[in-house]
Amino acid sequence: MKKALIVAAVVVVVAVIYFASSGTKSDKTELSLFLSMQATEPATLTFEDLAAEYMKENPDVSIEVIVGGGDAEAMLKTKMAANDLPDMWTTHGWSLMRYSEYLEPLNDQPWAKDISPLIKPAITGKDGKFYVLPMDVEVTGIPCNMTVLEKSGVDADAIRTLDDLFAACEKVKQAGFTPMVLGGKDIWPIGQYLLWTAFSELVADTDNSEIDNLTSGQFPEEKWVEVVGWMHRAKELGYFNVDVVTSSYNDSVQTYAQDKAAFIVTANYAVGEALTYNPNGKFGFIPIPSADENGEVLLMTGERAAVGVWKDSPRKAESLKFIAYLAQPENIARMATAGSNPTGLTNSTSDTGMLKPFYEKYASVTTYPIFDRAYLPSGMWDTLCTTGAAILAGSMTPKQAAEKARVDYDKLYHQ
Amino acid sequence: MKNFDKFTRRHMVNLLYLPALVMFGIFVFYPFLKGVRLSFTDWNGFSQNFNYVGLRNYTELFQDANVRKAFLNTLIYGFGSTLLQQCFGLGYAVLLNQSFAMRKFARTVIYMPVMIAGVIMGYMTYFLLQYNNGALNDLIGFFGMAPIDWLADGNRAVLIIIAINSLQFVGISMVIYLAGLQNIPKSFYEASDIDGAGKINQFIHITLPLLKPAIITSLTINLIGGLKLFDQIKALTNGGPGYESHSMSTLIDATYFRSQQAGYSAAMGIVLFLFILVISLVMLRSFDKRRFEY
Repeated sequence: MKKALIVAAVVVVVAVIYFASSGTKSDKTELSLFLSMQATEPATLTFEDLAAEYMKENPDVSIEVIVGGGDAEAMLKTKMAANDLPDMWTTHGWSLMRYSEYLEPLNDQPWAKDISPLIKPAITGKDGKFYVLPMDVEVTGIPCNMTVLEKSGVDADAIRTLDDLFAACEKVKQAGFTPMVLGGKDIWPIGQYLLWTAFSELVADTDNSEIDNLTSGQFPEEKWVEVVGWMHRAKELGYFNVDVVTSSYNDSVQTYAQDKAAFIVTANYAVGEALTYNPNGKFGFIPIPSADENGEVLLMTGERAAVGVWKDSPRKAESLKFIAYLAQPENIARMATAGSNPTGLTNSTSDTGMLKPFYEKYASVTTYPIFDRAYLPSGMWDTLCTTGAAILAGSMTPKQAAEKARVDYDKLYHQ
Repeated sequence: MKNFDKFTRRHMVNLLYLPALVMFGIFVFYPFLKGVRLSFTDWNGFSQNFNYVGLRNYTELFQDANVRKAFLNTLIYGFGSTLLQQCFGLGYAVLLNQSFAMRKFARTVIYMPVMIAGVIMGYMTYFLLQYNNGALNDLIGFFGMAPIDWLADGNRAVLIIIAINSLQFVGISMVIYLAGLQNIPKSFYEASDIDGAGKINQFIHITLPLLKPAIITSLTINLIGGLKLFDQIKALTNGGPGYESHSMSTLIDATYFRSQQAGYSAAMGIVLFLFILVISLVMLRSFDKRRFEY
C-alpha cells in the first residue's frame, strides 16, 4: 500500500513538472517593452497603440507592453540586479547614468542624425554614445493656472527671480487662492520643487555656477542651505496648500485644474492631466526664475518617452526593428503630441496644444538637463525628496537638510 | 522489498518535510545569507559591481537619526498595536463567548478586516482622513468645525497607524482568545460559583491564568506583525511627513529602492531581524516556563 502511495506521488510530481514546463509554444518572436510610466498617461496609451499596430503589420512578432507604474524604477533595478531585463524599456531620464551599461548604443541607427538639439546633450555621454530613441522631449518650467494668475493680478511674464515668484505668491494668497499646490504624500513633487530652487541658486547665475563642483565631487553645502531654504520660506509664508505633506499628486492636479491654485509643483505634463479634469481651463508655464537679478531664467529638458534596447537581449535585432518603426516621423509626432511635448527628432513636428504659445514665447530661453540627472549622483533624488519632506513636516531645518544632502552626496558619489 | 518498507517507515516523515525544507532553504535561508553578505558592501541595488566596506554600514546605522526614529516607531507600532489588540481582542472574545442572537455575525464582522490586504486598508483610511473631500473632515464640517489635516502631524500619524493596524488585526486575537476560553473547563466556574466568587474574581483568578497560553500566542503573533508593519504605512503616509512615521520595514524599502543604498538597507534588515529574533525567543522562553495544565 505504502509502495503504491509513493509511486503515485512520484507520478503526480513528474506529471506536474512536465505539464508546468510545457506550454503551447508560439512561433512568434515575443518582445517585451517595459514602460516607466503610469497606466493612464497618454504616452502609455500611445505606446500600446503603436505596439498593436506594429503587431498587425508584423504578424510574426508579439509585443508585451508592461506598464511599471509607480514601482517602475524599483522593478527595473531588481531586473538589473538579476541581469534579466526586458528587451526594451523607457529610461525615464536615466539612459546614461543608470542604464547605459545595460543598453545598446544607438548611434548607428538611421534616425540618429535627426535627434533634436534640445535633447541631444541630455542623452549623449562623454564618449559621444547615446542609448535611446527620444520620441519626445520634456521641456518644462513651472506650470501655472492663467485664470488664477489673472484674477490675482499677477503678470506671469514679469517673474524673473525667486523674489518675484514669492511676490506673485503673496498676491495670489491675498486673492484667496493657493499660491503653489504640491502633493507631498507622493514625495517626488517635493523633489521637483527643489530642482527649481537648485537651478535658481546653483546654475542660473552662470558666473557663479556650481555645475563644475557638483560634477567633480564637491557638494556646495552652504549654498544648498539656500536651495532648501526656499522651501522652508514658502512653507512658513503659507504659500503651499494646507495639506502639503499629506495630499497626493492626483489631489494636487485636481486643485490646480479646478482654478484653485496658481502654480503646481510638477512639470509641464501636469497641463495635459489638468485638461482631463477641466477641459475649459487656461494653463501655461513660466521659465524657472533665478535666485537674484544676476541670473537668467531657464528651462529644464529631459527624456520623457525615450526607449532603449537591452544590449544582451536574445531578440536584439527584432527590438531594433521595432525601434526603427517607432522612429518613423508620424509615430514620433503622435507620441510627442500625446504628451504635449516637442518631438525628439527634427524630421517631425507635434501639436503641443495649449502650451504652443508658451514654447514659442520661451524659444530663446536657455535649456539645461534636469538637475539631479545631470549634476547629482544617482540616488540623490530620494535625498531631495525626503529632506524636503522633513522640512515641510518641521522635523528638519534647512541646515540639517543640507548636511544630510552632503552626507548622501559623498556616499553616492563614491559608490 | 522488506528493506524498502523498513526504509520508508523510518524515513517517510523526513521525506514529507523535505520539500518544505528545500523551499525554506531557497526562498528564506539563501536570500538571508545573501542579505548578510550585502550588508558588508556598498552595493547600489542594481549594478553588477560593488565593494566590501567592512562594518561601515553598521557603524553608520547607529549614528543615523532617521534609523533611530524608525526604530523607535517600530517599537511603538509593535508594542502599541499589541497592547490594543490584546485589550480589545480579549474583550471581544469574552463578550462573544456569551450566548446571544447574531453572535456568529458579530464574530464575522470583527474578523473580516483580517481578510483585507493591508495596503487596501491603508488606502481606505487615507480616503477617510484626507484633508480635501475626506469623509471625516466632511463629518466635522457638518458640525461647523474647520477641516483638519489628520496625517500632517507625525505623532498623530503614528497613533492613527497603530489604531488602523489594531482595528484590522484584532480579529486574530479575538479568535485565539475565543479558542482559549472554550478550552477552559466549565467545572472551574461552577466550583467557584459554589465558593461564592463573583464574575470579576472568576475572570482574574480562573480565566486569565488559564488563558496564559493563548495570551502568549496572541502576544507573539501580534508583536511580530506590529514590528514588521509595512503595508498600512506605505499606503497611509508613505513614511511621512518627512521621516516621521517610517517603521524599520518602510525605511529599509525606501533606502534600498529609492536611495539606492542596498548595502546599508541590508544592514538595517539584519539588525531588524536580530531584534525580532531576540523578542521572539524571549516570548517563547516565557511561554515554555508558563506551560499550564488542567
